[in-house]
Order: sequence, then C-alpha cells, then structure tokens
Amino acid sequence: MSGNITGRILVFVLLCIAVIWAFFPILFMISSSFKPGNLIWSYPPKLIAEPTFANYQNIATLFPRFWKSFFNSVIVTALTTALTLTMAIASAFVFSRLRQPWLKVPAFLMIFVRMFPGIVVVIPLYPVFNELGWLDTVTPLVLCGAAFAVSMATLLIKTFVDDIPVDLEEAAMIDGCSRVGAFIRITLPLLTPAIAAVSLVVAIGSWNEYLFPLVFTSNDARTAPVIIAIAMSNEDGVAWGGIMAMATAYLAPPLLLVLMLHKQITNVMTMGAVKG
Amino acid sequence: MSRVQIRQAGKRYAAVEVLKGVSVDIEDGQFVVLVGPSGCGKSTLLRMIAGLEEISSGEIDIGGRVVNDLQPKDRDIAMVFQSYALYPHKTVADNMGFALRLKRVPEAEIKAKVMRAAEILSLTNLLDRYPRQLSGGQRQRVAMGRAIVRDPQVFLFDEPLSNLDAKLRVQMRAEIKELHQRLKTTTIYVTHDQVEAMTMADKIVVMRDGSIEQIGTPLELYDRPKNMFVAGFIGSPSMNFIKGTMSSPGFTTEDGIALPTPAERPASATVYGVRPEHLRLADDGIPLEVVVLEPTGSETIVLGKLGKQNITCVFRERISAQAGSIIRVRPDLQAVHLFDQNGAAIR
Ligand SMILES: Nc1ncnc2c1ncn2[C@@H]1O[C@H](COP(=O)(O)OP(=O)(O)OP(=O)(O)O)[C@@H](O)[C@H]1O
Ligand SMILES: [Mg+2]
Repeated sequence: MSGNITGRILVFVLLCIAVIWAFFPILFMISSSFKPGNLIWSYPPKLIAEPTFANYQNIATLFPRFWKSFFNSVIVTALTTALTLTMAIASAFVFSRLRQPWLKVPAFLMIFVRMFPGIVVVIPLYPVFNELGWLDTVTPLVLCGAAFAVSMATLLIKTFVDDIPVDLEEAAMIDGCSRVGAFIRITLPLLTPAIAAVSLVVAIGSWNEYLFPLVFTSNDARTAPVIIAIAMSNEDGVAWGGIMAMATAYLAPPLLLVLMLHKQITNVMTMGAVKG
Repeated sequence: MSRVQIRQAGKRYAAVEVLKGVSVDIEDGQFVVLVGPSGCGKSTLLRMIAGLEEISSGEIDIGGRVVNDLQPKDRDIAMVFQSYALYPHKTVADNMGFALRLKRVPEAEIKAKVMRAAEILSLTNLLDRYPRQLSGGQRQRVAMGRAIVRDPQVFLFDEPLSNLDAKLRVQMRAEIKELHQRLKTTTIYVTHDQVEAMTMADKIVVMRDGSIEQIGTPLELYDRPKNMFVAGFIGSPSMNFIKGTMSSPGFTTEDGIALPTPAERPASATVYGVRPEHLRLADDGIPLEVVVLEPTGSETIVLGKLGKQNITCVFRERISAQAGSIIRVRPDLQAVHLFDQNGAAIR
C-alpha cells in the first residue's frame, strides 16, 4: 500500500516537472510580455506586480511591419485551410467511394509530392512565380501550403469517410439525391468532427509556415513568423519586451482556434458511435 | 404499384460473371421473394433494380419504362437495407420525411404523410428520437416508414430481418406481409431464409450461382421442385435424397433395400426423394435405424439410417424409440420425387 502511494507521488512529481518543462517557456513569454522591459531578466524573477500593456502598445513603433504581417498570416492560414480542406474532402470522397484500380496513381502522386523537402520545391518554383508576378503576394503561400498539406488531410479524412457506411449514401440516392448530393447531405454532416480536427492541424501548420514566406515574399505579403525571426536578429540589441508581446500575440489565434474547436475534436473520439 | 420485368439481366465484375442473364416477370402488386444461398447474386440483382449497381447486360423495366440508364432517384423505388441505413444525424421524422423534402413537397403535407406512416407502424411516440436511441425492431420499422411515406412504384427489401432476434423476426415478418396486403405495392424481397420466403411470397425465385433455378408459388416449389437443389432448399428439415437404381420391380437403394415406388418407373432415376414429413410409421414399412430422436413437443424428429444413408423423419405423433432401435416407416407415394443423375426432377 505504502509502496503504491510512493509510486503515485513519484508519478505526480514527474508529471509536474514535465508540465513545467513544457509550459515554462510559454508562461515565461506570456508573463514577460506584460512586464516592463527592464524587469524581464531581473533576478529573482518577479511575478507580475502591475501588468502593463506598454509592450503591446510599443509593437507598432518597434516593429512597424508586425501587425500587417499578422494580418497576412491570418489571410494565408484561412485561405490555405479552406483550399486544403475543400480538396481533401473531395479527394477523400473519390478515394473512399470509387474503388477503382487507376486511383492508385493519383494516390501515389499525392504522397510523392509530400516527400519533397520544401526547400527543393522552392527553387524551381521561384522563377515560375516571378514570371507570373506572384512574388510578394499571398497566392504562392496559399498554393504551396495547400499542396503540401493536402495529402495528409486527404489521408486523415478518408479514414473517417471509410468508417461511415456507404449504405447511408445509397439510401439517400434512392431517396432522391445524386451521388455527390448524397455525400454532401448525409456524409458531410457526419464528418464535422473530423473536418474540425483536420482543419486545426492544417491551420496550425500553415500558421507556423516559415520557409515559403521567407522565400516568396519580401514586403507586402510577409507573414508573422518571418517578421518575428527578423526582429530577433536585430543588431542594435533585442527589444525583449516588444518581442515577448509580439510572440504572445502570435500565439493567440491558434489558442483561440483550439478552444473553439475543442468540443468538435473530442467528438472525433466517439465517431465510431455513428454506426447502427 | 407497377409491373417489373427483368429481361436477361446480367452482371459481371471484370472476369467474374455474377449474374448470368436472369429473367423474372413480376406482376403489379405481387410480393416476390428472391431466395438462395449466400453469394448467389440476390443482393446484386436487387441493387441492379434499385440502380445502385450497373446492369452489364439485359434490361430492367419498371412500370413500362426501361430503367437501365436511370439514376436510383429517378426510378421511383424505395429500398429497405439490411443495416437499415438510417441517417444518424436526423430524427425519425426527418429520416422518414427526407425523400419528400428533397422533392420539395410542402411541409404540411410531409408532416401529414410522416404521421400517417408512423401510425401504421406504431412509431408516433418515437418521431423525435434519433436512430441511436431506438431498438433494432424500431429501427427496422423506421426504415420501412421511410420507404412507405414515398408511396413508390416498387418496394425493395434486402434481408431486412436478418439483424433481429428469432421472435422479433417472426413478428416483423407478419407485419411486412400485413403491410403489403394493405398497400398492395409491388415488392421484391431478398432473403436466404426459405421459411421467410415460403411464408411471405406470392412468388418465389430460387437462385443459385447467378442463375435462376426455379420460379413458382411457394406450394409449387414445395410440391414440384424442378431439381434436387430446389427440392433440398425448400422445406425444413430438407428433403431426403436416397441414392440407388430403378428397375421394373421398383427403386432399390445402394444398400440393396427395396423402397415402395410409384407406378411410373423411369430407368434413369438414380435418386429417390421424400420429405421428412411424408414418411409415416407403418408396421410393414422399411426398416430405419434410429440415430437421434428430437422431440419438440408438437412433433418428433428422427434422424436415422437406411442402410448407410441418412434419413430424417418428422412424425406428428410422439414415439418412444431408443437410439439404435429399428422403426418401420412408409413413404407417401403421392409425395415421392425421382431425380436423374444430373439432379433434374423426373417426377
Ligand atoms: N464488387 C464486387 N466485385 C467482385 N465480386 C463481387 C462484388 N460484389 C459482389 N461480388 C460477388 O458477387 C456474388 C453475388 O453477391 P451478392 O451480394 O449478390 O450475394 P447474395 O446472394 O446477396 O449473398 P448474401 O446472402 O450473402 O447476401 C458473390 O459471389 C460476390 O462475391
Ligand atoms: Mg446479400
């Protein structure tokens, strides 16, 4: 009995350490963003005595391009996610419902494309986008982001579609739907949790994308990760307060998204219950 | 309501021919049962009628219209699936009203039709539930309700009762039959259960390996099976087949036992068929060694041996024989069947 309790305490302590280990940088970042710049590195560390929003107000002056890049990130992420999901749902339908031998070819190509390191893809695309006049616009970011995300998204959504009995669509076809109509009216609503989960994965991937905006944008279409990284390497000394505020602002949208979709995503766990 | 004609309908998957040109004529208002062992192509044929499976060759005609190239939605049929296929995210009422809503029938009319179907099927107090909140029998009823609100030309059923327990199955069997008598809609019903086929059908289509073995009323199939397959498939317990040879004195089994033989004695007969219920106890009968005795209360089933061949008998009376003892039985000559070496019925 006592051994058991010791064991539990040990597990508890280890868990605490793991959690602190994982969250410390984030907590440090968030709390620092509300401290006056001179207190960030003070030792012993002070808990926030009087939170200040000065760092946030200073972002615009210290890093004049940040809010614009933040806005770009939102646009790119939203468009990439929408495009990826649209394509992934359509191809999941095809791969799951039309079991035809020739589909192996596009299935292979989808995985094949995903295999290339981003940097390799960027090289030949650069002159192409240049020619098309797409450099420093969000278009190449959305297209490349979606092209890379779509294979995994398709794979994930397909496994969920596979779990939904095709009988349901057949019944709907007899009830008066076309084949695609049956999928849209019956299967799609049942996929909501899966779509929410996959959207989250794709959105976070896109939100964090660094390589494509670094290469394909220079000014107008720069996204937040690039701007933050550049701010870190400022030669005149780093303005830590402002950076912490910027990073915290950058963290907010994914957090919000997780909170918004959390309920849908936990439903994914119970999707098996759809049957019968 | 309407007539369904299946003319030389065939189906092949790549190299495999699953249906070999079958023809069935189903009259207006008839209840036709497709029956046969697993894998014989019953579901395939039904799905071809529904439009869920392409027709590789031949024609299917519903109500005077060849439907080969029509989408399921344009065929005016309703289907009840083995899995019921109820829409999990819709209530019972919405499940039943879905087809009408797609046709843009006015809401008030949908409501009335759903209500009427729900009354017929005693579902009125379940209309707001979701499928997952229903029992198997209730789901089955909702699936039927979804079919009947549409008032289609043809009902298609694919083993609708196979997920229910034995008692419920008997009850639903009667309900489906009653529903048919009430609505008189042409119905095609697939099952592999010959009892279901016998009790429900106006006409039975017996299938095997993608072909039709025989079409007829239940009693025609019982009384005059065309071959050993149908003879063995229809009736329970199934018909006894006794191998032997025919000569002018009568049929002799492989073990040399002479059997009572009808007057007509074709030399080509190599199998003597008699149903278990057509064997009676008789003092001057043929000797049968009892192997197992199964009293069910209303009847007694005896599994026995005639020489080396197995014989099943069903007696109305209770008998008190022991395993190993000999009983004497006599076939009802009117009900004796004879088959040639290809299994075709001679008599
Ligand atoms: N997509 C397919 N590809 C190849 N063969 C198939 C396909 N679908 C069905 N078959 C074959 O067609 C035959 C008939 O199948 P079907 O489902 O019609 O049988 P069934 O009579 O309904 O049997 P059960 O009583 O088991 O439901 C089977 O031998 C099956 O293996
Ligand atoms: Mg079947």
